[in-house]
Amino acid sequence: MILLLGSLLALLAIGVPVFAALGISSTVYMLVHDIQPLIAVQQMFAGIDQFPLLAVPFFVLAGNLMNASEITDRIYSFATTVFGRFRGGLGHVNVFGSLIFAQMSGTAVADASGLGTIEIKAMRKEGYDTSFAVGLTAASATLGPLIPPSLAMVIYGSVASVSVGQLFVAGIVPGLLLALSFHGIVHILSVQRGYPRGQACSGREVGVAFARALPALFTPVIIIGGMMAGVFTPTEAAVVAALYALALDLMLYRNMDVRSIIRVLFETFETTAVIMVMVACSVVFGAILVREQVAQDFTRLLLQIASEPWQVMLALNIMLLIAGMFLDTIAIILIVTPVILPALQASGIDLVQFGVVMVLNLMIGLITPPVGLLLFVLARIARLDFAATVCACIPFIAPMLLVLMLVALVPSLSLFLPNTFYRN
Amino acid sequence: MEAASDSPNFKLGNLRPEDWIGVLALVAIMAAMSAGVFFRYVLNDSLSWSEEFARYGLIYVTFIGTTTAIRRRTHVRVDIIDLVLRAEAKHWVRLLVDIACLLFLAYLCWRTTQIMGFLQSSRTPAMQIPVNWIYGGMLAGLGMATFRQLMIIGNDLEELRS
Repeated sequence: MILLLGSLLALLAIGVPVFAALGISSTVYMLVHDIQPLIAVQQMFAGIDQFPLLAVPFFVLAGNLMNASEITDRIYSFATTVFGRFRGGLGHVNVFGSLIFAQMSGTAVADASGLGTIEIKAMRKEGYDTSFAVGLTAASATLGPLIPPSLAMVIYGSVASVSVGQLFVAGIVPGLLLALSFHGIVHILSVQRGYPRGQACSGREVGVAFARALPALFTPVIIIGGMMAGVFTPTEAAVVAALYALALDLMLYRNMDVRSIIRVLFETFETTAVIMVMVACSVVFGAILVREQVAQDFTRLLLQIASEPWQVMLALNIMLLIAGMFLDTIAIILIVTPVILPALQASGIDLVQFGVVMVLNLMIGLITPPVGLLLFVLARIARLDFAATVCACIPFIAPMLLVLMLVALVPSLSLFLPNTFYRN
Repeated sequence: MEAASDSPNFKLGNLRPEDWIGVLALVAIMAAMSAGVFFRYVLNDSLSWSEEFARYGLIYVTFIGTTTAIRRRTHVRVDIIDLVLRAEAKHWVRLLVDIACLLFLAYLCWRTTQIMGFLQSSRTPAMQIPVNWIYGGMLAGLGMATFRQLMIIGNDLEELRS
């Protein structure tokens, strides 16, 4: 086991891609312990030959399509007409816009690179501090994977054998809470620093902007509504969402040419492969963890230091926060989930609730150094150096930790909706 | 993970054969899944093959896309080492990493070939096509990835020399 985990960490530390690091450490283990290696190839194959995982390309595609068309601009102008009038209005617009965008996209980076570019530019023009704009954009982008649809939750669902539909629905209330906490901190900081108010818009203007954004606002009705009503499986909802986004682009907005469609398809293809090849290799790695009884040992160790569920929850969260500082979200879900599943079951923590806790926790990892995907993306978009980007994000970590604590300690926050809609 | 989505300078001319094959496979998955949803909800008649076809398409996409991501260095990795090391040391570590990946990919190719030998007469449950058509896609993807990795190592060596 020391060989397996030690080689994995060493490979990751020198910068071997996650898929290869998982594969190499597993292969070395199998050679040393004389395990039939052909099983590994079959496990890789079977690991990605799963219907729920077909949601991955479609949710990626839907998000990419939204970003490539003018949907993002329309969402932004709608949010401006609603929230622009308040003090620090563009800050509230930033949060609200991300909340809407999150209902169509499954990743935080899609949000930051699409909507984020518009938001940062507008906030700078109106005299907001760059650091406030950048930090807030990073923070609000983390709503993406929490509000359904969510790529991270599809992956967690497949590793933990939990219903993706339940996970999606469980993320809604925590996502709204997080948005609310961001509105709160925007309000406090705006009053403190005297950020400007925007112009108040008349009801008519709000109505026009709403109508222009309506086709996009209708997407969550299809995805979330369709799943909660039991019409679609999450995979089918993903297909329908992608088709809907494509139809909007081609028939309504008509601003995509062949080149941009191919670009979107290519980006979706590459992103999907990068995720799926990690999934494939993690299955082999996970099987060895089971064989080595790593999860049992870990559970025993954990339950020795933590007897109450809340203590287990705390210990796991600290572990995830540290992992999140260094590693990618999907990679952590793939590596850590099989190890901690028995501990969760032994201490009676609901797997759906923990899925939400885990995703929320790992979102903090996206904006904490030394490795944070959103930090890299935003530093580039805002042309800010890395250290300044890190500092910009710090004020927004507090509300995220607060919401994380609430969701971890109060199960009904995440479980109320899935219990109502799925478990009767 | 989404390094691909930030390419404002996207040019069709930069796409390589594996990219086009992968995009086609993605379109095929989309078509099959859309047909499946359409038949089930609109015509009330489930297609038996669409789900299986899409799942196997995803395997093609995965391993062909692995090639693309190796060429473009877009695989997920921890890049903390880049922040710590000096330029020259970084090149050596990169070479080491690329050689490790090459060995792993070549090893996987070899094992996949072996398993295909055992599965020669197996067919898939719904479409009744040879299972090796899918393992073959996996092998083709891994083979191209090995090739691209080799080219990358060539680049590494050139960088080291200059």
